[in-house]
Amino acid sequence: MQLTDMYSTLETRTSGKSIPSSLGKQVTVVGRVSQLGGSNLKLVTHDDKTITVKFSSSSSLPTQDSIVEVIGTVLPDQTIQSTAYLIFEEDFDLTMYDEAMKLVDKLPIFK
Amino acid sequence: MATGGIFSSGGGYMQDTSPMDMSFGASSSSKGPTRREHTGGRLVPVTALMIKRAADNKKSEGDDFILNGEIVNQVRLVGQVRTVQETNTYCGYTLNDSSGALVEVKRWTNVDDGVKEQNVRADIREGTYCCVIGNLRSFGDKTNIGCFTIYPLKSMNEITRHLLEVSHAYLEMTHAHYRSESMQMDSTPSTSTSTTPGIVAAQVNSVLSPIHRDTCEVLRNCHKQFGLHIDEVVGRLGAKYSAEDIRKALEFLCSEGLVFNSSDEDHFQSADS
Repeated sequence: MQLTDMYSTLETRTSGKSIPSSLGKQVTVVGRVSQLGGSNLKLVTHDDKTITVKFSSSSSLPTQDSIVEVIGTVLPDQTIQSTAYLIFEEDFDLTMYDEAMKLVDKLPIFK
Repeated sequence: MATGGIFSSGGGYMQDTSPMDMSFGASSSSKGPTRREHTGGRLVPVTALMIKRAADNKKSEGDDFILNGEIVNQVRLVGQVRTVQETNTYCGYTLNDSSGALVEVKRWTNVDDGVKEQNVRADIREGTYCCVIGNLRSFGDKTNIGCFTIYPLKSMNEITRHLLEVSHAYLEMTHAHYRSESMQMDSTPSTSTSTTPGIVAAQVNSVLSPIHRDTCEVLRNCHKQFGLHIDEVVGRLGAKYSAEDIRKALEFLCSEGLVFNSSDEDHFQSADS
């Protein structure tokens, strides 16, 4: 995982459906890699939204079907320019994470 | 392991004898957040953003951290290590939990800890997701967690669990405050878990059905030593409700702790009288 300048970023854990309202913001999104292509990939988020994640280089991208946590900035075209990613274990419970994110989106303490 | 009551939140004073204690007095104080005495408070799962907000809301360095309406000292946090500073006896970490804020974590070690300490340091590197348990401390305008323990997550499902625990703690700690605020009482939000009679009465009135409310009222207005016999309750409410319904209402109210059997199983008394 690349951590260049990571100490200075203040991303917010974001669900897929909130990406369109997070343009320009730094976000953390969790989902499953559905398609790889060059230095981009398509991520199906925990709440079933498909977003494109761009990387600065095509080397060391996550593998197809892996569950990843992506950290990056939301671009105006609603894609994410990733600065780092972390591969989660295969038995990570995406459904339960989605339930937790519903609370994150709802409760005032997370805003 | 020492309890949170022994570690200070700044200044080296015992928590029970800090200046704030004098203004609060007994634990059932009706002003300001609640303080759980003797144990140093509960361990509250939090996010870095919650810590930042609590720190921003403090008026002075010596004030307590208030989270979810309560004075909180011991916290649990899950986040990713972004920076590590190490000396022989000290490790400093910056954690980011994607809540929108960073938190500094400080851990002091014993030079004699040897291999065990080396293993801990080897496990906690930049990029590692960790769980931290420790005390909130402030020095000047900076807040940090003085940690008792920090360990790497064994599974990323612990991130999910922590989010759920933070949500649960918030709802549990503030639910009573919400109820007390909606009662339009002049007590502050934190006193809703007290047993002051007027507060109990006001809280229940808005959530009970009419028969439960009326039964409670009859018993509350009775000042006999052993309350009322069930027949007396039926006698007072019989025009409105059947004896069977009143009996069931009394059973329900007993199970809720609002009334109780006094001299025998046929006599009932209000917990509020």
